[in-house]
Amino acid sequence: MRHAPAYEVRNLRKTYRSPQVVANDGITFSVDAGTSFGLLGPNGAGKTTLVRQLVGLLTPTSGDIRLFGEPLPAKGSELRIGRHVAYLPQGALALGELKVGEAFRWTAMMRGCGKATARSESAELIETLELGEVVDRQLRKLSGGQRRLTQIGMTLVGRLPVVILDEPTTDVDPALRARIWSLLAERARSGTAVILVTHDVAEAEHVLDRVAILERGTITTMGTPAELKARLAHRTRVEVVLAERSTATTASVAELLGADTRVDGRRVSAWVPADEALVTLEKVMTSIGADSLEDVRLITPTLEDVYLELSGHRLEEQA
Amino acid sequence: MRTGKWGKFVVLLRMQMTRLRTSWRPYLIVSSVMPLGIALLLRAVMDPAQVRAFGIQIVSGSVVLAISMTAIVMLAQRIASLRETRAIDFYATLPVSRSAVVAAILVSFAVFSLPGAIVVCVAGAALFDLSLAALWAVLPVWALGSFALAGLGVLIGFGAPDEQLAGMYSNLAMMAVLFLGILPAAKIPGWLDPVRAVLPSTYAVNALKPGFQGDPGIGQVWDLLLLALFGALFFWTVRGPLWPKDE
Repeated sequence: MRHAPAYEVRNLRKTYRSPQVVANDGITFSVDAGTSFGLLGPNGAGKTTLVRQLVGLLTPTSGDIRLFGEPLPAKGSELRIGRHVAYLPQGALALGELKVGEAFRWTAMMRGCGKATARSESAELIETLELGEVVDRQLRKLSGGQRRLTQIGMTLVGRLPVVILDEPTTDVDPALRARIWSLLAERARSGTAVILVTHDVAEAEHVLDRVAILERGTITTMGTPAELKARLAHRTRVEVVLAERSTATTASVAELLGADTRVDGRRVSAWVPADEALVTLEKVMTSIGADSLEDVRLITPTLEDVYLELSGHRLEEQA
Repeated sequence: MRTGKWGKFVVLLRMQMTRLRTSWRPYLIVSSVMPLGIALLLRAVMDPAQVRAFGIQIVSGSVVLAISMTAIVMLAQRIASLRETRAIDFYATLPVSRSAVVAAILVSFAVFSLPGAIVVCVAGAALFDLSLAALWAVLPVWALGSFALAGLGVLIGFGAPDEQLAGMYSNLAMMAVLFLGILPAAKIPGWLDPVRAVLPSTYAVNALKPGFQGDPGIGQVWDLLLLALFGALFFWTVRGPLWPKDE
């Protein structure tokens, strides 16, 4: 069944009983082997509920989940999921007394690797994640970031065909975050299906082949980051920063830029039709005077812009 | 070569045993101080003529209490904490059976209860002038008794809604073990007989007593079998119906 998609989800609905909340409704998507798929959305959108159903920790109220073509949940499906899917939850570590090296090796062995394979895979991941210095340290004695890296390593060790990571790079510094992104992208290229839950739009844009945006338990939009950005391709954001000693006011700039203007200190920005962006900018510079401006920019839409446009939410406010 | 079922269980068990790196002192202290204190107190207030009559019951009850402190109270709180922080998800998503996970946790806490049980056994025997000639007879009782009592601990840990209630329920269970184990059956009101009958500690105390009399034998087998049965029952319950699913 390996030719089937890694995951196929159809019309999934999950209702919690107490309090009665519809956490997921009508969720449909599929993830192929060798691709990365992301669930992006604010807190409470139902992302974690969705992945907990994918790994068998929750039972769907209705709908259909298939793992490599086989339906879930079914008798004995816990073991089958564990053999195919590695899951990084948001929760705490089970055993703080384990040393980093043991955590990697023993998790690999639990996934069926022999001792030699477990040792070599662990050593490779420990090096990639720069955990060599703390390899003999107990997990409870690690910093928050190191602990998260260890959890990521424990998820990737054993090279299962599917990895699901729930907000993996929280508490991780930007340099290591980039390294984790490239590690996940490499895993996807080598045939692993990667499913990522994230708040971080940059993460989604860097790592993912396809993105689904979840809002109040339903998928509001889905596509490649490029496809989603193309929805706003007809628009360009004009951004103007007034000089400190400028006599012009942000209100006057806002008036020149037109409707839906955003003002943040001396920074004024607005979406304008892409073919009018240069003309609009020229109008501002002529009216205000170049000396009154500290910076001007024409910005093409990012995935975050798409997200904001579609949901009306600011991700960082939700985090 | 791939790691098989047995190899995975050994790894799971080794994972659990790593708790000893930081927790062996609390396990030893918590499990031995209170039972020893109670034995000491009873010895101090007891008429010397009663020492012979009640010593075996008190020491046997104290040893079982020592096992209960680790196997019921600490284990129940540990399981509840794993559930509350969702750390249990780590085990639930590994390709190992629930039975293996529960068995590894259960066996590890049974092992953690051994030092306390031995300390109370030896000190209690010295305090009440009991025979230690058949100390070996304690081992099968410890093995099956701790299995059954740890089963009760896991049951409470999985069944209680949160860690606080798990602590409360396990302490109540421990109090029952304390009173119904240390007091001679003749001194316990008849209406408590059903409670004694469903507590595995009753059979652990009964199985220990012949050893302190220096006369272990076939009489213990029935109590040991019942302990094994209790352990198996708790084990079956927690690996199936009680396995956590936050619906």
